[in-house]
Amino acid sequence: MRIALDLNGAQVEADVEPSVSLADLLRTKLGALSVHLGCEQGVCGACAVLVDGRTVRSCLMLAVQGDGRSVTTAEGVPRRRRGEWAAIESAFVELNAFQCGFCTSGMVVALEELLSREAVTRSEVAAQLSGQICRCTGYAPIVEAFERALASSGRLCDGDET
Amino acid sequence: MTLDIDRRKGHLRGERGRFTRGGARYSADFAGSETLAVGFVRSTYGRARLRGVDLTRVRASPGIFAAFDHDDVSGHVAPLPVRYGPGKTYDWHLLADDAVSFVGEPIALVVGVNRGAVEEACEVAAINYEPLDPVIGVDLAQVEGAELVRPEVGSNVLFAAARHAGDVGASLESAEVIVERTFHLARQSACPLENRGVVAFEEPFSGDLVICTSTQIPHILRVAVATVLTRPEESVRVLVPDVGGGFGLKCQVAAEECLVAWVAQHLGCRAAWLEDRWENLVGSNHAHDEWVRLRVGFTTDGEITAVDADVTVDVGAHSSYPLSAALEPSSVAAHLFGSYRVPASHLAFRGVATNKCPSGAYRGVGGSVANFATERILDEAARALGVSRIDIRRRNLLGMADMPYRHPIGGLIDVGDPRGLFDRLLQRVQDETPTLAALDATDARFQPGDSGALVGVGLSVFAEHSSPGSAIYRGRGVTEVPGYDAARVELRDDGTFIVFVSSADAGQRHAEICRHQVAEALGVDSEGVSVVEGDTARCPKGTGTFASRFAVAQLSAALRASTRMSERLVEVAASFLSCDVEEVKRDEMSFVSGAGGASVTVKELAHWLYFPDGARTGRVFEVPVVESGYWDGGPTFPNCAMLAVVEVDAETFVSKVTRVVAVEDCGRVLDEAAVLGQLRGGIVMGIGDATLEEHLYSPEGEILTASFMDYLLPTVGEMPTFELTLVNDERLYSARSESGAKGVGEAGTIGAVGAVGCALASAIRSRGGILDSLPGTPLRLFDACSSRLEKGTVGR
Repeated sequence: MRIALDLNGAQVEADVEPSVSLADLLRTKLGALSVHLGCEQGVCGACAVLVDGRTVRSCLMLAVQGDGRSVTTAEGVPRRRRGEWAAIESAFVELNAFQCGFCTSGMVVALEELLSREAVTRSEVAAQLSGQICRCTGYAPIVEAFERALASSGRLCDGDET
Repeated sequence: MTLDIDRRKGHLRGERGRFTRGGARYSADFAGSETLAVGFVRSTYGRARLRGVDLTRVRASPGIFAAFDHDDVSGHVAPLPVRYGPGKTYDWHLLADDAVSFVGEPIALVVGVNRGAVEEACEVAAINYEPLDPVIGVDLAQVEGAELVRPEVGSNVLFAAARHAGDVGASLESAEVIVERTFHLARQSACPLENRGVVAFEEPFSGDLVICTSTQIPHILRVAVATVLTRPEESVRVLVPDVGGGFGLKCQVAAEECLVAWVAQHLGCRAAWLEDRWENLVGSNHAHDEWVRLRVGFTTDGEITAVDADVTVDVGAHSSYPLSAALEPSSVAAHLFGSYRVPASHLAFRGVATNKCPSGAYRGVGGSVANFATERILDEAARALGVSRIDIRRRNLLGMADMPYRHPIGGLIDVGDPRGLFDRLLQRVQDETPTLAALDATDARFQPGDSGALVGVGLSVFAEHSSPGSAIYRGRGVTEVPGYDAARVELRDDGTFIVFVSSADAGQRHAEICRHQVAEALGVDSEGVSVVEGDTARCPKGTGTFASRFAVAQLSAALRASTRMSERLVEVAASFLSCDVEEVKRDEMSFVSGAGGASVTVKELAHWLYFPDGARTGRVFEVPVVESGYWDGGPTFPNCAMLAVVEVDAETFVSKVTRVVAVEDCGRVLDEAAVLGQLRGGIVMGIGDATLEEHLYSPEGEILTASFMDYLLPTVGEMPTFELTLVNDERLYSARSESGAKGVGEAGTIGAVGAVGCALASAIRSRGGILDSLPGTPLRLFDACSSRLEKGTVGR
């Protein structure tokens, strides 16, 4: 079946079998190789993408469900962030917030969802990260990179749960 | 496509920002639309005879090009000879021949237009099994007349060895107290976030068989593929793209890697197998699943008199290639009491075959359980003797004055100061009365925290065995692991240098660190040095990326090559400047003649060498200007002292590691951020090993943990507070490594398994629970407190 969606700001169309996952569509037909398949069981978060601004595990969503929606992958996040991106990228690099990098696309997408909010608490950062598995870093530098990115744009607030 | 990989490896590897922009490239990303998908029909039985494999319906399925079983491939793909002890091998049939021996074992391979078509076709394979009772568990495997998992070996004990030092019988006899306990670490697997992935094709220009794969051992894999396909080794090229984590899993050759290479060769196509997580959890290598029985003698004031250890490892259905069934048992035996003085020891260790997934490496290998067993028995001894957990360690820890120490278990330790590290660790907590009180074994009951949780504190002090050389592998009968690593430095015509190394990065920033180290050794700007790794066609042969080999063997090789290159450049400069070698002085990027003051830059020298002016006199230097280095040293013994604090919920028995304090001596710190990254990541992985991760099999041989909903990995919620100190003391640098670095890849994991395991044990002591088995899942902690059975003995 033919579907149309907005991928990282561009209108794209694709013919898909009804059984194909959004992740497979993005990877095999639309060239979004940042979408990483870590488990295809909805647990690890490596395949996270934004669908209409919310993080979604693209391994658990059917491609046809993406029809008419707006999808953002890690490739699309720098453009959405524009001037803010350089600082975010250097936070990840300088803090060693990744080693093998396989989880990083999902992390960037998860961060992007937080960056679209006005105010984010530290416990919300932890909650957001709890769905993203990293085997390399021990998480501390990822938390730091998230908080640095949020703080530099004035979004990190100290309060408890909002 | 190969160009893509080359460009990325050669120049973009150092550019880390691409990972955040979706620009990393892992094996699966090289599959492309013209690539055929390969999938596997896998055994659903733990042990069965194969009466027939009928692939008729598979071949007739939509989108399927071909399907092969053992008989179809046997004329083309030779079995891989697998070792299981000195001089002992059997043939590993990459597709099951007439029997299957674990759930998940490949029976047939299917080639189709895409993964979906292949998976559906695999479902309709008609496999006629004659089910047999599986051998699940080492006890069942070792009873008299047990069914044989590998009949070709003739015994379920695939590997067995023993080592003695001193008179253990007499030393135990004279001990005041003997503590005896058995410790267990569950079956676990490394679970890199990226599963295995292989893309293979015949490169049309050279005819080489190219295998782009997520591996830690490119050169060893090349040998394996050349062996099973009976091709010249030079015609097989292994390329390693970005690797989404290895952690030991990818230092085994997978049957699938060889078979996908054969599909590409046989069908003349581009073929890919992209392992999914179910396959990874069921059929890629597991690890651990081991028992350590210790009998340790002590004097009344807690001095160790002798260690008697008996180690049994469930190695699963096959000895793995190349590290073999000797890996885990040998590693457990080598790491026991590594930081402690041991007057006499007896070790017996064995790997026992069962109908479970074959075992391989997982970060820390045997060091993790060895550390847990060592530290737990010291805690129990302290309790039995009425001395504090601190004092019993101080009494037995090796100090700088003991070095070099010929450890009866671990071998000749060149340098180290575990006692000093332990003292520094305690200094970190010296003002904390509750922590210190918790370390006093005479009162194991602690005040519960405000939350009512059971609080426990654990200690571990250990020595890793990093970067073993060839002697260790030969001793285990392993001949496929070279044991050395190598490097080649080349001066290019533009005055820059290129370093080719035998290992391959899996996220540790090897290329970046190597570039800076080599630049420093050559006295040039690091911008003028690039590093090529993970390409067997261009890089020198070597062992690979595991056991902290990079900082020790690989970097030593690169530094040796660099030293030779520096010497060579001085000779060239002397010739250019028409002076004696002794007169050449280095002035930053230039060489200066001491006599006349004339100077020449590296760039000018390179141009002079590669574009001769035809008027050269004196000594002629040939191009290319290349120097090689090689390192077959080790092992080195990095040391660490660690303390963990846990809270166990008194109702649910859910644990939380709140804090990890560590003092690490990895020799010279080459890159502080990289070292801290290894430690933190290793610690959280060790917390997973000690609290969450466990593969389970039913008695029928079915694996019960085939998803991340059943096999639990640590998340950010399991992250403790880290308080890490790097010693970086020149007196503790190892001469077994050119840079003085001793390696840091496994310290966090090994340390956390011991410290967290002991902390959990101390937490549940107040409820009368004894914890000798990990992971300390809520169920296991609850059971320990419910049964209150003293499984070990303390007596004389």
